[in-house]
Amino acid sequence: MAKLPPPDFVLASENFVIRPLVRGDASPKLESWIDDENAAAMLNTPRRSWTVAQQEDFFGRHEGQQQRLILGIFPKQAREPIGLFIVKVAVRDGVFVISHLIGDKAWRGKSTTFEASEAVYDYFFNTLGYDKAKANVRPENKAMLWLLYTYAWRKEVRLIRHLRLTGSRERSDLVVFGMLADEWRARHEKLRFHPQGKAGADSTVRS
Amino acid sequence: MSQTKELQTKRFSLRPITPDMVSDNWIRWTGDPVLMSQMNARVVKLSRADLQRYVVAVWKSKRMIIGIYARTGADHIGIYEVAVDPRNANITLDALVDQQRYVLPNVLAETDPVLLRFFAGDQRIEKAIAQVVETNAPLISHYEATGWVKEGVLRQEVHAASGNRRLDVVQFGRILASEQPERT
Repeated sequence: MAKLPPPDFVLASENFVIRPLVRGDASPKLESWIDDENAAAMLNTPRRSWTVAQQEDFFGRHEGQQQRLILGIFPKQAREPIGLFIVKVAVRDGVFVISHLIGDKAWRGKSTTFEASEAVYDYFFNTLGYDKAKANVRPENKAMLWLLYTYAWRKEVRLIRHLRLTGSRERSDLVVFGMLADEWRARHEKLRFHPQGKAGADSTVRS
Repeated sequence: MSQTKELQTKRFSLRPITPDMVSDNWIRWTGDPVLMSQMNARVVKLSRADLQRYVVAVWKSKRMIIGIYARTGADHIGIYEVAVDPRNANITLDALVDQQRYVLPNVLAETDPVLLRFFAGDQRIEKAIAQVVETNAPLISHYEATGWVKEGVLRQEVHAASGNRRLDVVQFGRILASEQPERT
């Protein structure tokens, strides 16, 4: 049976620390994060500068929540996050829905998602006992579709005209991907992150 | 849907269920192994008070629970549960019909269009969704036969109510533009 995550926990990979964001993590460095279409769509908000006050409100509303978590991705030794995961859990069915944003463009295309997400999947599947992960992606988000198609995810459903878009009020499709815990555990060797240095011999969890 | 609105078809009426309307039939359905197995629910015959608490909880969570009644004799023969997503103008439907006495597709083929027209018109809902667990073959067949789009299968989406396995859920969708009544 799956368990709810505790209100506070820390995950670590070779190069990153991942933990729930709190109000105090808001920073001017994050202001450009949702100033592109895909990032804004992920948070279902208009494309804009993300003010510190808005960040504080967003992080603050999720502090201590166990069913909808905002997890920051911090390079080790860094004080500001470079991206985040949003994780919604349905504990009764043992399913979690995950999305992510690498907000700091300097960290895109550098296996950041690959490495950080492995620690998150390991925690939810192997520590908390979830059976399935899901990801919802709009069809125009080609970068995210590529990430999912080339990992252990499988396309399950295309929801026709399912979303009403915040800006235009037009309707958009949504593609739902699924990944079972056993599929993730049995993923191909090339889909496993291999730490490069001594410090990253294992992912670790501190609750 | 307000708790006083009533919709009618040729043979049935649809009325929001309030706690005082919990029927003996509904209590019986919760102990029907065939019906509960289809719904992937445990066979635990609930009391009237249990169901009354459930009705209160449904309305409090901004969902709706709507009874299907025979127009002749007012016999309670089924239930719709409706979750509304106002941001996306979507509704998600779940349906139960007393299949010991009625044929599910015969009932829903008559009641679905009236209910969908109500949501498309009065409530300006643009899409209806149904997520049906694989054990509910009659409901899957009904949606397949009545113009719903099968959008895919959510693999191993829920725990089985009995046994240590997981069940698929079939996802259907229906755009409601064509259900709207003519505006003059």
